[in-house]
Amino acid sequence: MRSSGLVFGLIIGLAIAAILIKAANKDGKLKTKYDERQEAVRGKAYKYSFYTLLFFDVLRIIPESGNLLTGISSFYISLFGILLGCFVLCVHSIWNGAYWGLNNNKRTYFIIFIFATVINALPVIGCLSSGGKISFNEDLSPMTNLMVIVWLALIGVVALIKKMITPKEENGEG
Amino acid sequence: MKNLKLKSARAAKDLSQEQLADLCGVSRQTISSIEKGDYNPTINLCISICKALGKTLDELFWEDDTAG
Repeated sequence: MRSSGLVFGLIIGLAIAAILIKAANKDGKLKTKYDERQEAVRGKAYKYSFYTLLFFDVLRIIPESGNLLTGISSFYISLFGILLGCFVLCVHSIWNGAYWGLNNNKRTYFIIFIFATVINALPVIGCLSSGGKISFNEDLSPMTNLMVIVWLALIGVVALIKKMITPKEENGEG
Repeated sequence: MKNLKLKSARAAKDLSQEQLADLCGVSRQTISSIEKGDYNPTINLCISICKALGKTLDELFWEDDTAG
């Protein structure tokens, strides 16, 4: 029952994401367009992301066999791996100016990021305000949302640092 | 190696990196990377840039032989 709910939730989530992406792209298309340099950078980013995930999966075999992560549900270990892989992809793309596509509306994407943060913050706030505890033991608990919030915040920090360290002449006029 | 010819040709046309990028259908960072010499564009992009700036490939992308 719980897995069917999870699958249903994933389908709904993907549908909402598709609608939001279409709305956020200037040409109303689902596919984000990148130029040749961005495609090359993103190709490398996907490669690094893949290797990170592979390395993480190899690492997780070791402590699991020794029962070192008994307090943490395997759901969160897998989620951490996915978020870590996506983090590598995003950071490499941001750092090399290949995160934003040619048809992306940055302002709309920024609103979507804020919306995603708020949506994920609601269960966390609800749980804490009702005196609940956020732990790694129960699958699909507010810990999932908390991990996503931290992930979004880290991506935001990286984007901010990149913007700050980019020379002024490069940032605007060249 | 920095592409100063491209930078000066763009400046001569009074275009910003953003404006040239829009004309060529690429991102501003890509134009910046080409000018800094961090990225070698494909021949298709070189032609697009040349058309946008009214220059030939030789004028913008052929390195002068300084070795003698």
